[in-house]
Amino acid sequence: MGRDSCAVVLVLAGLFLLPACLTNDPYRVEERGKNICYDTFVEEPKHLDPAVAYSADAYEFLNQICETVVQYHYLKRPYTLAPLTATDVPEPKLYDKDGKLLPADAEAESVAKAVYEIHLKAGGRYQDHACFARTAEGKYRWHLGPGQSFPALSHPDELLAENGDRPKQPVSPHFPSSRAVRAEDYAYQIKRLAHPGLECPIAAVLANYIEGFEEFRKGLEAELARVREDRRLAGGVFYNQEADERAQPIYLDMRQYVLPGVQVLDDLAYRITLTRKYPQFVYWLALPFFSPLPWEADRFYTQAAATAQNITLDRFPIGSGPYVLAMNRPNYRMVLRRNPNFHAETYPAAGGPQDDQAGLLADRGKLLPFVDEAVYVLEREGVPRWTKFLQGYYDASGIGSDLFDQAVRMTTEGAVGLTDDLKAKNIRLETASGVSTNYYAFNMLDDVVGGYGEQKRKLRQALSIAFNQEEAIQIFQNGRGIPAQGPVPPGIFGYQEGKDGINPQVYDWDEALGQPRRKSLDVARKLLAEAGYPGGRDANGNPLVIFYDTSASGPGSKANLDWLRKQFAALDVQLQVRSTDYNRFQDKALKGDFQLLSWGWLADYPDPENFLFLLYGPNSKVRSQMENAANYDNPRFNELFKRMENMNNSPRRAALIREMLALAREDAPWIWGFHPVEYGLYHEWYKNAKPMSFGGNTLKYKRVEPQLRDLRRAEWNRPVTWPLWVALALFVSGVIPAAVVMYRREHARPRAKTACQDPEPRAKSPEPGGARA
Amino acid sequence: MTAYIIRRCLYAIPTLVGVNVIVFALFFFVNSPDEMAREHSGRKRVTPDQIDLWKRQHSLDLPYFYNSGWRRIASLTAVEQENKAEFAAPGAGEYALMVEAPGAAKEAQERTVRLSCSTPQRLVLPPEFDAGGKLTLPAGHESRRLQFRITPAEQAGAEAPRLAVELNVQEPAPIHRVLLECKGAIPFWSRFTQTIFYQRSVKMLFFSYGKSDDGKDIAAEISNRMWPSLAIAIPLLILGLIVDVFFSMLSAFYRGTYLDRWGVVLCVVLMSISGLFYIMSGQVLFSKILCLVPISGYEYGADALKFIALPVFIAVISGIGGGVRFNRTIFLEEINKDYVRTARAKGMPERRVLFIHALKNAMLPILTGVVAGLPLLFTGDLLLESFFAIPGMGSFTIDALQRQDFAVVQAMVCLGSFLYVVGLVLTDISYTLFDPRVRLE
Repeated sequence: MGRDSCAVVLVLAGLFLLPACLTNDPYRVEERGKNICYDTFVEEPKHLDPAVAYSADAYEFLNQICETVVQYHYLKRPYTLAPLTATDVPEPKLYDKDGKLLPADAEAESVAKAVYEIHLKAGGRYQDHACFARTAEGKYRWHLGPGQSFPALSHPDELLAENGDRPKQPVSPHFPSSRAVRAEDYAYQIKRLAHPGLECPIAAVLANYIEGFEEFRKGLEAELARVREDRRLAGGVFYNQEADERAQPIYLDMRQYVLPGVQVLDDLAYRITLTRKYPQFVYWLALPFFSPLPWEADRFYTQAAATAQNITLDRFPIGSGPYVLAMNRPNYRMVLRRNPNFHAETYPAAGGPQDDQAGLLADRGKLLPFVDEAVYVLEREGVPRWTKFLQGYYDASGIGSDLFDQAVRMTTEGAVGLTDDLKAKNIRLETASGVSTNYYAFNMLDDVVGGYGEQKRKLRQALSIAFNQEEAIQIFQNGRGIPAQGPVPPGIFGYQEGKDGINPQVYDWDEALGQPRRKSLDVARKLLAEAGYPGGRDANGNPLVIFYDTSASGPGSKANLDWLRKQFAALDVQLQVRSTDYNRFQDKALKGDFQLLSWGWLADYPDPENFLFLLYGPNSKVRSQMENAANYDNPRFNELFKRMENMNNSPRRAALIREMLALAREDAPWIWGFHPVEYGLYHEWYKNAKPMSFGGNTLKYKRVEPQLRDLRRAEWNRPVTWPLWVALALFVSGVIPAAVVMYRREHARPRAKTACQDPEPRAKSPEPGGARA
Repeated sequence: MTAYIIRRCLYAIPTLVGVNVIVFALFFFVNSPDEMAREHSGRKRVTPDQIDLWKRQHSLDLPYFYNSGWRRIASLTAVEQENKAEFAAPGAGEYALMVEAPGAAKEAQERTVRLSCSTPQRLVLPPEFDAGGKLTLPAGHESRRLQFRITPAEQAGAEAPRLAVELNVQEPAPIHRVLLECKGAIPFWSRFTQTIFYQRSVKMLFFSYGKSDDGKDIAAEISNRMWPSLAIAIPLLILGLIVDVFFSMLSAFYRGTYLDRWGVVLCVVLMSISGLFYIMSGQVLFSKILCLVPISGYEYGADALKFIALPVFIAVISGIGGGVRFNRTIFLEEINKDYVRTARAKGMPERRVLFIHALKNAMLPILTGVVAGLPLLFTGDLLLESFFAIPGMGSFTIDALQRQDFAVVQAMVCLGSFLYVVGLVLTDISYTLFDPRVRLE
């Protein structure tokens, strides 16, 4: 009995102490008050090697780690380039085929060579890294030969650690574990873009421009093939390529190979030579593809000791940027930590007209970065992510469609505002129109919807009118979109506001409201009749059926597809939806086996060429596997595109774009969809946040106020423990009837036989649970 | 018993080999290496050359099951209207010329290919070529493969012949390509080992999983992810078992009374509610309204407790319905056995009969069920792990399927089938331990 009461006392004491340690704070106690910002990621970035990574989720990390010669100005809109590690934004020198210098606005045909000379600022230094560590004799400590290995590692920086259970590594103080960034590192990285083993996604683009790039790539490929063939022959019958290259990675030292288009002038200057005029090239320079990579790192990561432990450049990038990747556990957390070797950079002194008002210039001239650490937590599901944001555990959040009503309220005038809940928490809303376009492409090679005759054109125009984008945006995007008037989204050169910018095939200009008004369905019906389908039927009286291909499937997209059918049904045209997975969908697009499909495009750089090339004939998907999914091929448009493509922004270029847009609108190869608008929510302690569609090395500008955050978190998350007591009481009271029944049964047995017999027939009666046994 | 176990293990081998072959066949029936390459090389601007490169990188350029010795020696892409390239031919032997065409026939254009050799008398071309070595493919042609030969040199020590290929198209595009293949001597066994099946599939049988298609070590990935999964699965297994057995025994004890009846009704209700509802409402109640535990997340070490408390609690509650009803039938069956009646007849209180005698015997089927599932514990729970952001194994295979990562899918299926076999053997062994009447021979 004494032991039992002891246990009861212990349990009760535990119950009283329990509330003290109950909290919904997902972070460690020691993180409180620290200058850390918290964000989420949904999926692990596939690649972090700057020569391979080419996706927004990878750039969110990579842009903070690797630095490029130019960057997008954080505050200025439209997007403009500003120097980062270069002394200024490089301007090309153009030469004709005789080597004569041409003016900057020379015609593209006359240019035989465009030379970019890039001068770097002094003072750039890499993060501390084991690849630079040397022994007292000056030898690289961790560049090992075959057969040698590292201690067990989860991060390469552990090789630099001097305490803990790892013995101090014999690293000489004369050779620090870092070095200055040199021009040759930029050249090294550009050569890596041609490395056949890396599959750089833009290699095909660069091959068109950089002098000698294709031959260089071919040379490396031959070299790699030779090494592989030798190994395959030497390896005998049971040779396994994958196992062999794991045990003995093939290292191609890029310093040994010459790429004619890239020349190093000295430690702080290099030169890139293009074979033609290509004004957009400078935008490529702002992507991590063109960040510097020290050969030491390539050598370090291409050795069996590292690859055997999954220590690769693809997981642990190295750079000279404001942050280093201190933790990469992609199914748990990614952590960026301040790079102590970062050179001095200051917050921009000037910005756009509203930036001062919005408080975005309060930190002008201050040294970057502000935040010590950025923690990215894996969060796959929308609801927990949103809840944690509202609890103050994440500093910023986007808005998912299903949570939209909880966050944003539309006023009757169509303006957007936050709900009272969010206003009470002092949360800020920022909107920015992204630089992407969602479109529906007709297959111009199709017998029914394709072709360039008057009738075919009218058919497409009629369908374009019927497809009410405004309604689609309201229903499926919660109003977060701008109906497209053409392929070029707002914020890009060539986009026109107002009356002159509308698509006259689909819209009229409403003078009273000062906005475009979609043409009525009657106009569409008339066009349809003129196209040879009066009332949606052809000459033989057969209904017009259009096949729509999409990779959207499952219950989530059903509403959208039903809505689409309804749009076409308004013209008595039948829409047949063919949903497939993304692979099949791509395959159909490649083969031209479709009539109508939907796709989207996110720009690589803010230039109209990056959108208009989606309609350039030779880029046809079917013919050349490029991005023109509609296979639109209008000779006049192609000709104009060729002229516009390599031109600097000027009124002449604007005029060309205007003419191209008019042609495309007339032909209507796309149903012009919409340009999505992005919404971002920020807590009051999260400063200097401005949405940015290009670039994205924005972490260094962000500032948090940890004290305010801790205060708010405590205020919003007070644990409520009384329901636990109620639950306990309920459980205890549930024991009472059970005890009563037991007492009755045990004491009633001698008298009432029925009590005992009762269960027998019940137990024998078959029941579903029993069948499973 | 040792003999029996050895026999069981030997039986497992054909099963595992069969699984291996079937997974391989299924995956490559629906997916060509080209599609895998396109999926992996990023979705913007993928040229056929890049696809070939990717395939070579991942030894997917080999034939599926049997290598007859053909290998590619050169390729020429139409960058201009007229393209020319020269290659050193490896020597006398069989060659093939492959002209690739765009997928849609009506967009194809007329192409001409001219083939010449530095020692023209040694080149033997099929009749499709004209006297000048020119081949004209009319528009609308699919890809074409033509074989030709280079005869041995007349005098020894002659220089290796050089082949020149010209490709003329009206409009250049990366899809227009000419590929040159040659048939080399290949050792007998290499015909089977230089294949995708051997290179990618056979090693799985020896637990060497290699790298996933995006270059991550699969074994390392599994050992990283299994611990969080186990941190949920083991407490869940133990707690779930205790709670289920406890309540099902209560139900059996009070069989026939209103407690039992309403208990069963409650179980059916609990069973009928979707798992997602438990998760969402649990998160809202305990984390959002009561602010007692974090809504999601994970921390390694002792801090894991505050993160796994809620998912384990929710999983136990959502499993009670099915578990209790299943165990209850086992107990009821046991209670009706002769030895229980004897014990009762001897005047033993119902409490002792149930909790001492019936429990031991009823645990036999329950425990064997548990043992069979033990090896698969680490594979995790997809729903729990994704809603609670547990960095476990739950979504590993599904993510890989979505990324078309054959290496991971193959590894997980092979590992899964192996563990399943292990589980069955363990069940057999556990019978002998729990039930002295069972002997394995």
